[in-house]
Amino acid sequence: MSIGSGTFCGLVIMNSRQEKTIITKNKMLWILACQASVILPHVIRIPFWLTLFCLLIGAWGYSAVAGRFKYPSRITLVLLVILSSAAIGYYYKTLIGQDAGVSLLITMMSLKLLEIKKHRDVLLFIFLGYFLVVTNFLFTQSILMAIYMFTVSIGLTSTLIMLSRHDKQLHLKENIKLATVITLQALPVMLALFILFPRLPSPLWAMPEDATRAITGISDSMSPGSISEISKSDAVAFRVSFKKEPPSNSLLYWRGPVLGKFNGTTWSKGNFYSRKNTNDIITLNSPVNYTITMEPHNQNWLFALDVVSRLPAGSHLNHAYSLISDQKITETKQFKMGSHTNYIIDQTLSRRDKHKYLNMPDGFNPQTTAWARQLLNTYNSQSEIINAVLKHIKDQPFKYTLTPPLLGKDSVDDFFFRTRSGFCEHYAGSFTYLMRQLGIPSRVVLGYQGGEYNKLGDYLIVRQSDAHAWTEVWLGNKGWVRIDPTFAVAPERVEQGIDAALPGRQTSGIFFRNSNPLLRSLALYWDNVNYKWHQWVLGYDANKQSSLLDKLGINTSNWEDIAISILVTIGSLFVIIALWLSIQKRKPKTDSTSRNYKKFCSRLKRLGYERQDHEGPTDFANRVIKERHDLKNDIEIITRFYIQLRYGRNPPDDLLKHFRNRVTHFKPAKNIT
Amino acid sequence: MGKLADKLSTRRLTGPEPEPVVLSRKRIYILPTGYGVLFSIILLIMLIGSINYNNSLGFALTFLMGSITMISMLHIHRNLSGIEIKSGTTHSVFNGENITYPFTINNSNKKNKYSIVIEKSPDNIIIDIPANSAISTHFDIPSDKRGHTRIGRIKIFTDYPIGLFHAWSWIIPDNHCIVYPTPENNAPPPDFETQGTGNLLSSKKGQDEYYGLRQYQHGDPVKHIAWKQTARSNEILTKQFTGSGGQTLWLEWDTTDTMSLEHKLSRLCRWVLDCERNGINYGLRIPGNNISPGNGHRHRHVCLSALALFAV
Repeated sequence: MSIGSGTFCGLVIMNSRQEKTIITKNKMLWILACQASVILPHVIRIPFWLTLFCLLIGAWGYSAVAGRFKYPSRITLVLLVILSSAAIGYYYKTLIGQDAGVSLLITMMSLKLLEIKKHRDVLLFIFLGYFLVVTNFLFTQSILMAIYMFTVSIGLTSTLIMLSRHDKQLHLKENIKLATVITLQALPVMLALFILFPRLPSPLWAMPEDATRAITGISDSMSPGSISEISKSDAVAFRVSFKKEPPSNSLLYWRGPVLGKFNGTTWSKGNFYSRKNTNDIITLNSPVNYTITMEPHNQNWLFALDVVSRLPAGSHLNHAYSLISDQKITETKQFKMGSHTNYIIDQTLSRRDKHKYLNMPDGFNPQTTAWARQLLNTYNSQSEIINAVLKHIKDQPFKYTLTPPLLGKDSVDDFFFRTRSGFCEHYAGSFTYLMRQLGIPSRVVLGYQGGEYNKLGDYLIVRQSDAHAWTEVWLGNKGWVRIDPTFAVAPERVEQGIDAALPGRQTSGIFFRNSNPLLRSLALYWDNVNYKWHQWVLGYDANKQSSLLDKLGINTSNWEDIAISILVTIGSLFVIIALWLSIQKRKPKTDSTSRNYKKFCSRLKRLGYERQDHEGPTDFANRVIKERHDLKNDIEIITRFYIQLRYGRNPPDDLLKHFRNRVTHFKPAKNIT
Repeated sequence: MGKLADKLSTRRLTGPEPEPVVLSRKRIYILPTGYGVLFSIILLIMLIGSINYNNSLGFALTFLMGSITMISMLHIHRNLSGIEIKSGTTHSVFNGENITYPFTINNSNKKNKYSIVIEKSPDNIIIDIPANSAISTHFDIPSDKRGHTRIGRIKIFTDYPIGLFHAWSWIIPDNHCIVYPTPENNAPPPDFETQGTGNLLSSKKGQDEYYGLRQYQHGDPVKHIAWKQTARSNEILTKQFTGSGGQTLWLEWDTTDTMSLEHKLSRLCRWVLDCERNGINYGLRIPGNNISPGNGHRHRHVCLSALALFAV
């Protein structure tokens, strides 16, 4: 079998079928680059030895393709599969679930490298690659990760293109370009599917347990140091969009878990099991409506403006009016709710609960007990006592600091009489303890206080550094009343936020909140983009979909409507793209090179030298030169340029310009001069 | 499924069409490859996962991959459509030799065509065709039967760009040739003795009589080339004689009557070639066909064709 050439012979390939699909070293390098870029984001999650294993396997695969090392035998390969699976099973204690599953996929994808000889061996490898790209989104869905992963998928698609080409060259640039073009053409179709494909309000089946992992955030207990630890992080806890004007900063208490039990060092939830109802709340002002976008914290509780009076779907109030979600928050999720900032809760308290809220371990903090007795003797009413204590904290040299000295066994005594310095958990914990000593039922409330307003996006960012703890005391008819002892020592904490109270504080965030104004506004801008991303891309769920589609006039409750709109949209997008492609196809536009050469030929034709169909440029030139020696120079140069432009490898960039120039100035005289 | 697809896609093929055959929308078929089916299963798993975890980016990537797969159908179609195929001349061969089928594939589109496979089972040719250009190539097709032979249908397909789809088209080139019988090896020479005077015609008493010039034809004896005249003109010329070599020979069907039909044809074929090589004027008499004596390329073709087409 042989191939002669017609008018062009630039890209002719002549190979038998067996040769053409062999993976060359160059191709293998590109495949390894794909492997590396797919695995890279997983590296922080998988055990170190697995990364090393993948690297070794990659090196082996490459040497095998390069012929420097043998391919493993069937048995070796099976052994490798078994051994690596066993190692992963041993490491994770399971082979199912996200982490172990991803590790297994990575191992299988890497081991596939040892089987690569021909093009078709790579296809499965690429499919596994796509799959791993998707699994990465189970762990993070940030904008940057999305951009990275979509870039990787273009790379994988260009590999598919490489595999469908039957020659030994890599054609890297061409393939990446085509992959990008196809991806861009696919984007509108993807967008249509993304918007229209019906979203389910609940998962198909329960998620495996390890979908949740430890993330910094408020926990359901409090011991000295626990909040100040959280407070070091600038990570976003949640974002809030208010429907109308946001309440003033000093009212922004975001209620979280309520702790009713103290064991001498740690406050915890205690044994309370009842549930409350929004009807139990006596509201005294108009409601504040808002939407909270929670970042995942792998807990059930939600944070709501104190106190929540309109619950989002899929949630309830616990005994202490903390908002509890039916499902753990394992991914960024939105909740629409309403709150009243002026309210009365629990005008009555059962004897049993009262007892629980007064309970303290015996044998701790004798000094505080004595002080309580003294206070009880001095003042008549509960409110007088409370004011006196707050005044004491305010007047005495108490200090608000993230790094207080360590407290001993009698931690409350130490705090009130010795160190006199601490963070909100010290103030709230000690104050609550003292209240109990005074016979006032009291409890600690954990949550966040304040937040930073992002004017760009018109929303409030609440960060981990805004974590806070305060006290609630039960005052009979007034119900539970919020008292924030931190306010007594550092009012600016509540009025202006943590940065005002603790200037020069170091946090772990990338953008320090008290850095220069430009960085700060950039940070806010970026946060706004992120927020929109969460709201519209990641948070696009069944609710958002139905409200958006309703606006477009598509009835989401009717699946036929949805199916028809999907088909119509995608069908018309297809027609548009197909038309576009066929327009490109039909216009065989001659390029500048041929146009100019034609011009050259037509000028020679006027002299009586017509280029015959069978004549190549050189033959033609020679024929003319034979009779027109005077034109030899011009004809030779133009012909040489033309051949170089048309058939040459990498003609210089300015060659076309010179060629055009030459042709334009080629004005041969009719007769030999 | 491949067989069924072949059957269905060749249903409309009735016979040769006027050339060049242009691969148009109506004659291009597209089906997913096995890997395409596998990939759609993987996409389905990805979709179920995304639904279950309500993972927006999972949805996005799954839909993107699905859309890319769909869009690739348009690209694979574009890669195949607009290809033009034109057959060249197929020359006659002896049975057992390869028929050379030359053809030209033209891409009149602005876009290059990649990895186009032209398959004439079991052979195939894989080419890239640059924009606005044509490539000439050929197939060598083994012959196994004397007589009229058609080239038969040719499949043109591609998996480009992403290998998840297979687009193909069939063409039946308007092209055929005559396959002569296999010349017998070591055949005895035609028996002059038994032919007698009635069969062995000697014209003009054995004198070669020059009667003119004609254009050289393949197979003309070299010694008959008119060198002087050839040097003066652009063409090679051959001298024509009546009764070249002074003999005229009738190749008779009946002289070979003890053999099988194919063997007879084979032997007659060999004799035709021998006579031709030796510049002997020869005629052929086979049942239903009587070819008067002559010589030269055309005569040879007439005789061999008569043998090739005998009783088929």
